[in-house]
Amino acid sequence: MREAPAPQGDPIIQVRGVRKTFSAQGRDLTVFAGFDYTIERGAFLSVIGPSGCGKSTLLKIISGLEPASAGEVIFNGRVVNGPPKGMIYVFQQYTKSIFPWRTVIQNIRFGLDSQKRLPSREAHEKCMEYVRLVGLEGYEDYYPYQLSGGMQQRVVIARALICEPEVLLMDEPFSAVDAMTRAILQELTLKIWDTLPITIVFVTHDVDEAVFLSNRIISLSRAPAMLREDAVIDLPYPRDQITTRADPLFTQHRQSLFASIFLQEKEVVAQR
Amino acid sequence: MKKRWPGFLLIAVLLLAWEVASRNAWIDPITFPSVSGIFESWYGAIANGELMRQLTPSLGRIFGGFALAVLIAVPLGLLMGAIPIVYRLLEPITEFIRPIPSSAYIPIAILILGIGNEMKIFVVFLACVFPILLNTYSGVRGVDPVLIDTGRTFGLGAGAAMAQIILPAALPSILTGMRISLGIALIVAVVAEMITGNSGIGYFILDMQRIFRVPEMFAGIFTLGVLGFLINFGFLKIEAHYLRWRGTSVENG
Repeated sequence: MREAPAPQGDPIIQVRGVRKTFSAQGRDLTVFAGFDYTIERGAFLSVIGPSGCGKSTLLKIISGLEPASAGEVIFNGRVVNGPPKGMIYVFQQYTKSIFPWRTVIQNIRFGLDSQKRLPSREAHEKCMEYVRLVGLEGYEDYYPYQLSGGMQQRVVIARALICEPEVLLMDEPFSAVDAMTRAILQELTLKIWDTLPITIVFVTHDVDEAVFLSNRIISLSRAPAMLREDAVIDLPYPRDQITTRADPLFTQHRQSLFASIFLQEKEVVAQR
Repeated sequence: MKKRWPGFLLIAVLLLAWEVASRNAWIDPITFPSVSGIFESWYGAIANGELMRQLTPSLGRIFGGFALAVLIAVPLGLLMGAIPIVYRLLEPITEFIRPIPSSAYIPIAILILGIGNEMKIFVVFLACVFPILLNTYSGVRGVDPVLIDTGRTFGLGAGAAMAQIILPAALPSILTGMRISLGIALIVAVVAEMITGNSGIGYFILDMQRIFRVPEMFAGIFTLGVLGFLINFGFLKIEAHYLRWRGTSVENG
């Protein structure tokens, strides 16, 4: 069981003065104009905000997949310059990120092989361990086209977890699956975070999801994105869909975050 | 296969109509000998080994030229698709050479390589290169960026990404290019054999026409039909095997 990190904890990721400008058709769009944030080791941090505010861009910059126009990201004391070892990005579009030519176990094996070479028997055992962790036993030899969306997303998560990353960056991973599957995958994600020594940065536009999962939530404004809220969610772990969502504290957190975001959003729309 | 019986029935009906028309001299029986006569000559040419003797060098040229084209065009196409500068360098010249019918190269090929096997293999090779090249680089350029980024977040280097992500993702397109090329290889090999030389199924057909052994000529043409059908059928099977992960049948692709 884990609690929210202490305020003066051990920083794993530091975002320092990050600027990001996109140019399209001769017009510049500034998504970040100097953004700072520090993520504590072991945190489950959710990043919420209106669509198009740059949540995913922030995650991409942290991951090293997308360079910042200025500023830097420090991961474990080192400047991120391309995707670093120990950090895996889980894409929103799991159907495009899964390898359709590999079976379930071969997809997971890809993750393992990208980190270390094990003897074939040992590698198979380890892959099966992760097949079981995400509840896909019996499906290991299926191709992705034979699986539902939720199962494909489990494969993608297992493929990331087998690398034993220190940080898992998840970009709206459950936005394209049905509500029931989402609820189950949320619990699975919590179980993983609870069992493994891992820091999760989770981008979502769903306040409920963020409150249910995280011990820390930041909310971003519209571009250029500024930090609007930084809330510690002190709901006890382990959490589950039934009791946690019924907890008055859950409702309280959800309400205050929602109200703050909604009122500001309304103001922005009114000013147009 | 099962659903194709009406098509095979139509072939049988047409052959039967030909047989009847030829026997009753509704069509010129010299130019269009009866189907039974053609099949008899066909059987004879198979039995005495003549047809195999002519088919073997043709198959060698078709598959030799094709294999060379695969060896050159697939790696080159992967490089063109993956590295923008290589693409910008080679794309215009590709687009310029590609529309020229490869049979137009036969005269130059004869000047350089003579009239032997080398020339024919070269011409088949040239004809096969472009469909494979084009389909390979457009397949690579069509690989979803999310797939490339997935490789990057797992720390894959350029070579590993090429082998483990780009090549399998572009494989459907590459195989389509190869299948198109095989069809073209058959055509070009036959044309080259008709223009020069003294072996091969193309030579056999033309030779039989010149000495007025019309049933044998038709037997040669029918052989080409069967050969083309078998090559395509076999390749579709190979494609279906390698692309079984797509889940949809490529039989009609």
